[in-house]
Amino acid sequence: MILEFLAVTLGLHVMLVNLGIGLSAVIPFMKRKGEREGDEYLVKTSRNFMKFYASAYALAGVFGTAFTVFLLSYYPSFIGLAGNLMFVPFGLSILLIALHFLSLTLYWYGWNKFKQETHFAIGLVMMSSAIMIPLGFRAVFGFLNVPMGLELQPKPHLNVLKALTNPTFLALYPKSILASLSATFLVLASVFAYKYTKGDERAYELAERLAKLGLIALTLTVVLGITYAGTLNLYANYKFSNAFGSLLGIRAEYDLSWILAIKMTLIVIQFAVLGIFLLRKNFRALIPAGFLALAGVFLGEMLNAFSQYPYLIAEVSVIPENVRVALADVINLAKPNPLTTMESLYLLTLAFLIPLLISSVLLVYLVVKPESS
Amino acid sequence: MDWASYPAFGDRVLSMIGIEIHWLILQYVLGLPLMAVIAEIIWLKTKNEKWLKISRTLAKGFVMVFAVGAAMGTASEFGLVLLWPNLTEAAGKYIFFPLYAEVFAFLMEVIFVYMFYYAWKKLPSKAHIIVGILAITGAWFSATMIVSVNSYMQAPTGILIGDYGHGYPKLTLFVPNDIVSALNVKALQNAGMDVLGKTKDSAIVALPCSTVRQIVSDAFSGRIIRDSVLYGFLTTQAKEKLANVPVKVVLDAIMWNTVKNFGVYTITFQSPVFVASVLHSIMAGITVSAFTALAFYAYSAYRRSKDVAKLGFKYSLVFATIAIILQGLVTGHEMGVAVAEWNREKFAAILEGSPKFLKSIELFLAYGNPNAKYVEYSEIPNALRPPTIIHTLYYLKIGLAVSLAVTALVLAYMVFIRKKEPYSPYLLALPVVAQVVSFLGWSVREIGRKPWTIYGIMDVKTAHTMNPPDTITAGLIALYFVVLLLALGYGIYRFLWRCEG
Repeated sequence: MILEFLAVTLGLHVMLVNLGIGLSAVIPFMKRKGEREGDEYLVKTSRNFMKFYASAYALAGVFGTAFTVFLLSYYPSFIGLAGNLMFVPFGLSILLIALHFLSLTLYWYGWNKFKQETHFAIGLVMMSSAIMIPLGFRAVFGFLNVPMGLELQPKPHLNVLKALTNPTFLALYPKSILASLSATFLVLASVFAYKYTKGDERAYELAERLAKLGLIALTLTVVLGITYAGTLNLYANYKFSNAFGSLLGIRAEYDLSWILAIKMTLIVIQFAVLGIFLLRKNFRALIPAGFLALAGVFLGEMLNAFSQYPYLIAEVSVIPENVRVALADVINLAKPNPLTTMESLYLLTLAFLIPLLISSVLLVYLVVKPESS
Repeated sequence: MDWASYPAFGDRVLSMIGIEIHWLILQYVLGLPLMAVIAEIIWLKTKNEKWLKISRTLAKGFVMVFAVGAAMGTASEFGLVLLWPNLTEAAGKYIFFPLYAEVFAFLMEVIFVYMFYYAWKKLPSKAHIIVGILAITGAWFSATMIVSVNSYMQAPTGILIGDYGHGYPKLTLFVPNDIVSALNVKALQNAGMDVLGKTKDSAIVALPCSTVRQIVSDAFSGRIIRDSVLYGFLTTQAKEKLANVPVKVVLDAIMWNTVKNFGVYTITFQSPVFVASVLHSIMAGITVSAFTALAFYAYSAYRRSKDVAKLGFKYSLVFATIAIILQGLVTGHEMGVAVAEWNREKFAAILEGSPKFLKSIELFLAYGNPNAKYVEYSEIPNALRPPTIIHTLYYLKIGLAVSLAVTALVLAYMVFIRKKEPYSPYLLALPVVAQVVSFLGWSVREIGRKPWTIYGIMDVKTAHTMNPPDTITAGLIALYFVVLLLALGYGIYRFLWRCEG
């Protein structure tokens, strides 16, 4: 159950964060365009998106915290190790998280209260901080692929410059950002396609524009995804083998290529859906694109996080033998904190998590539901 | 002793700033939802629209600050991981449950705090009030979990207090039988260990905290048994066999067994200072919230003389008066009694240098006897002495808290008995004073725990990261957070104070 809890919290966190990154980019520009062109529809729509974004991002924060605390409870020595080494990448992300929440608060409550230019500038801070938060976290993921920058003398520490040149990080970070944009564009395109089928004429143009943007971002994501896979093949082959396993006919310790197969199928369907929509203007066909995109993001994150199973660091061969032996239990997902292996804890977790997840869906519903007079 | 002379001064200050900003903000999530829900219930009963307006304004207040407060909580959490990774690891390993449960509390808090704000006019009134109660529950549940961990850090479950000459304080440990068979019990008894009893699979012992501290330090600095204090406590046979085993393996086995015997889910809640601590903390949140609302409505009534502001002022005044009295006479008193009993060194540092009459008052309040015998600061071994700065911080806190209580009582007299309208912009000082009192309370608690990070178990040096940031980096980070706090303060003034006011 431990891995399932980690997967659920990480997956929900990443899905909501992906939407958050995309919305933080779309909202300020949509509102700005609306203001410049005197288009009330765009201003109103961006405000509705902002309302959703604020609540979704808060939930993303909670699931991120939940993932960290679960990780701390199940694998405390790993967190202790990471804490001793990762001051710079985690620290960078923390500073940006604080800035992001502040800009989000000011943007939301400052709607119609700041000058338009000032409000837009706050929106840009909101967007750039959202895009940069994953920089530190993805650097840590890159380190978990290949621990480049780990130096043991005079004491164990992280050489930040070396860590930033980690090829798996250099491919993973832009891929993650483009995947966020792609997923958000497609989710919004789906929303507008649905609105159009319900008689909202203005939704036509927006659905079309977002679908085109989604297609570009999805194509670039695929290109960067292939690049990322290439770096894994070269630098973290254990992980690559587990991810691609039987799909490429490679021997894998833990073959997770079925996740990759589903993800690739979802991507193919997204391309097909976009093609049908753009060529035949079939709005109904576009409606599932958002769901498919989010499901693809979820699966991609699962594959990335767990294809190094049972290790938390994929390529350990770069670590000296004596240190590797000392760390054997610390980075082993199959050896959790013995106090957390009680069935009662899992039941308790489910007893809290299930009603709270249902309540979080209710929250999102109530946020987007129009007020009764 | 000088506060700065303990290890990792810069990182302690940085943590203090991060956690204080988090606490400063989140006190409003402990107090304002309660005030908002009660105002909404009164509206439901009276149908007076002013109460609904008050409830919505208070809700806007806590929703605005909540996001940044929660983000600062995340920042504090990561700050603990990065600056005090060994403390974080120990907490995750041995007392993980309240932190684990706090995740559910946090989720509950986020969902229902936002739902309370966004679902106005979207839910029936009674359902909306239930949402508000769930928001309060989430916030208090969250506070209870975190304070339980902090209480364990102040006075861990199983801590035994006694004469320093006999090796006290000591920690109760359940040592598994397979480890007992490797130990030279005589050597341990000579070092001050007492055997308290037995269970089927363990020996129950009381080990001097000086020895516990050394073993924990050895374990977290990655030593093997041969290089550890533990080596001297092994039988000859075990010395040969276990010399190269990491100390952490032994420590983990003993601590896990101890936690299991005390209760994996309940160990932190059994800390002798837990109940007083959690009540004192929640009441601090209510007190700060009430004084802030009081100042807001006083300023609002002063500027525009609206009836709703006047009603809000009276409502907040009732809350503030009751809260500060309960905080001083009940929860604060219980907290003081717990400190005197379980944190004798802290109590001694508070009294150090006090005039005789003040000492008599403190002793009377703590023990019911102005002449009660207590451990004086000079009697405490050097290695256990907390910084004496807490003496000044404590009395400053008490002085300011008393001035708050007197102000609240005078205002209540003027408003409810003399029927005056004492609205003044000077009352804007009240939330600042309330926040300072709350900050000083935490300062006494946290600074007064030094030299320990977890009392009797882990010292500051052991808890600290092996790769701390340099002073300039730490200073810049602190400055960054302070600037963000100021920006948030401006935002609240601009969009809540001025608009709603």
